[in-house]
Amino acid sequence: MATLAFEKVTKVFPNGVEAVREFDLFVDDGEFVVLVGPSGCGKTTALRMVAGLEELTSGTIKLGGQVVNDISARDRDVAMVFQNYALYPHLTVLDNIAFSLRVRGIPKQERHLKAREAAEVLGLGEVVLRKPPQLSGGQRQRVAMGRALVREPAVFLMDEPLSNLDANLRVQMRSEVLRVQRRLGVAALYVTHDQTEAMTMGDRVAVLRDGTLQQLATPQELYESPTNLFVASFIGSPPMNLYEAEISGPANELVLSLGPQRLALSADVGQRRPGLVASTAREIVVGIRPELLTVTVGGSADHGPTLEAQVELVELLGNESLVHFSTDARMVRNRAGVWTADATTHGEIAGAVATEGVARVDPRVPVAVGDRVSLAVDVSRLSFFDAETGDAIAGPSAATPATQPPPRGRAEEQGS
Amino acid sequence: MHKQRLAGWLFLTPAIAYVLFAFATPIVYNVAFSFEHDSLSTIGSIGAPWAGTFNYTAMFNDQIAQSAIVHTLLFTVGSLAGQFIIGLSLALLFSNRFPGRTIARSLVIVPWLVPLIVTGVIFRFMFQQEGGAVNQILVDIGIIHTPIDWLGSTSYALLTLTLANIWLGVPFFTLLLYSALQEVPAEVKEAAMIDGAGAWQRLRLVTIPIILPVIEITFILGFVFTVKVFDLVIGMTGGGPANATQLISTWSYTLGFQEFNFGEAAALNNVLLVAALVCAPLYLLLSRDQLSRSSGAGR
Repeated sequence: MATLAFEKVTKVFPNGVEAVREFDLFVDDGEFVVLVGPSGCGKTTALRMVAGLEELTSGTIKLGGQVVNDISARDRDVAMVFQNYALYPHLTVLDNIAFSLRVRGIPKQERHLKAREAAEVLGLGEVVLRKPPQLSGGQRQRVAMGRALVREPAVFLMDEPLSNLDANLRVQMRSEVLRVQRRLGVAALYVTHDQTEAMTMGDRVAVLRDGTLQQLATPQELYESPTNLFVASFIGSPPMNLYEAEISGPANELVLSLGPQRLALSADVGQRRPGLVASTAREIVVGIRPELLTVTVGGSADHGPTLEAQVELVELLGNESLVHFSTDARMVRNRAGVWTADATTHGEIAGAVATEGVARVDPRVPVAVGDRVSLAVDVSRLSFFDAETGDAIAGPSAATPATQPPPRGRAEEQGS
Repeated sequence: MHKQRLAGWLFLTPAIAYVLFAFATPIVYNVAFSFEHDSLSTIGSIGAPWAGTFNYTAMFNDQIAQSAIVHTLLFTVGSLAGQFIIGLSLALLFSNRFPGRTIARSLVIVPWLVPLIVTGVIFRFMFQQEGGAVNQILVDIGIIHTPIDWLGSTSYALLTLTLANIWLGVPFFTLLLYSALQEVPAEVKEAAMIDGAGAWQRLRLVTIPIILPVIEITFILGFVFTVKVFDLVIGMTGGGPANATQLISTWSYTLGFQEFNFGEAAALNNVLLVAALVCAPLYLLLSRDQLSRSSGAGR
């Protein structure tokens, strides 16, 4: 059992690619931290540096407070689950799980006893004598976790362990992974590109982009107050609607202009974000989560600020409907059409007129394609970003410094 | 259905005809000779006198034939062991990145480019007692004090021959084992490292078991190649001194074409035939096994 700390870790590959830059992260004992980001953001490299499979260019990695930079992978005492499981194809399930005990010279009977125990915990009791090629994807995944379970590792590392499973199994295995981690009770670092996995599994989530830490926060905080446009667009499904906008008016009567449309902001919005007042008459980006939009029925009642839009597509999901609409506000996206929209590195934000947006609405509200609708906007929960830097405008909480001791997570409440 | 079967046989006919002509005929002839009293006058025609097991009895009572069988065994086992150890070491070496790797890898196949008889002559020069490169180097670095008579002494000649053959067979082992090593997933080796296995344990417990099917097949093919080595011996020792390097192949050649004792030569040759007959089904079995193993492992 040990804590895990990255301190100003940088990794530059021989070909000059800077995979990880000045990365700071602290994972407490028993805590489950997810590294999430698009492919190529350096998350796997960061994980492999903890395992000792990649050398650091600069900075330090500490396990249990001890610098491990120069300790070889075999002596670091970490357990790791690989994306392709990396099972030993010539060994049975039992011998796969018991391998780490075998190389430590533990007698066959004893190690098989322990491996069998781990196999039972993971529901592999029936297949312990089979070899990996005879197992299903889910079973292979469990064997890979069994290898971690049978040891008492200092940290538990996982590199996209669920990405090779089909959708149903993936959901099921999420809780399985968490169960194993609780049982081990050690610091866990989990890499994924799937923001849903990150949100559902992490005590805290670290969002990476181009090797740089964007935000480290609890899933809820990440969702409600993203520190910049990248995090805002990456976290959440369907993604946040982002529009070019302008702020005007006095502090307690701020008005948001989205193209020709006006949204009056209630007084408390300005009070909670002093930065907004300073941004008047400057270009900003407003972020509207799909659930902040409500389709209004009938024009009489006062729905507060509304956005006029035309329905383009309705996706019925049973418990909710996703209404895709077009509006004359200018949506923000980068030129490649990918949701990155960081003005500082990708040049100016390209806008387009009459772009789409998504609203998450009550399925009982009757809407049909082609309808012109008024979408009521919950203005108290909007997100605002500086159009030039992409940073959140005076968000309620500044980004939590990474090295600061984390809030105690779920693992602790379980009282393991 | 009937037509399809017929078409199938038609496609097979040229191959079958070729195998019958080029492989089966000599084998049948050889087996026939071994049961006949053949002489120069009867060798060209069919119908030499029946000899029963006479040739086999003669062969097993022939001291030189006996020692040739033992020599062949020692030569083969020694060659294969040396070729495997050096071949695997080189294959492992080439699996790592180092400057000049590509050039070194291509140099490994040089032994193949040299005709066997030339190799034999070159090795004869290198292992000469006086002025041979090997003795010169060993004396210079102080491993031995007086030059060794590598080829002229009955106790060293077979060893020298085996060393030369190891050099010849290393490329084969290196290439096959190298390509097998490329198939071992890097992640699996990394997993073993994280599980706490050292370099030797990773090799012994993970890498070798994974490439074992290829190792088995390499050994069988290597056996078949080695057991019939002929030109190398002719080039280096000609079977001497005092028949110390006489192998089955060279002795049956001498018996047949120098002493015109065709019957005994054929009988001795059939020892090789039996060895090949054991290896062929084993090879088929293992290669089929490997096929099913690798397709079963496919994700």
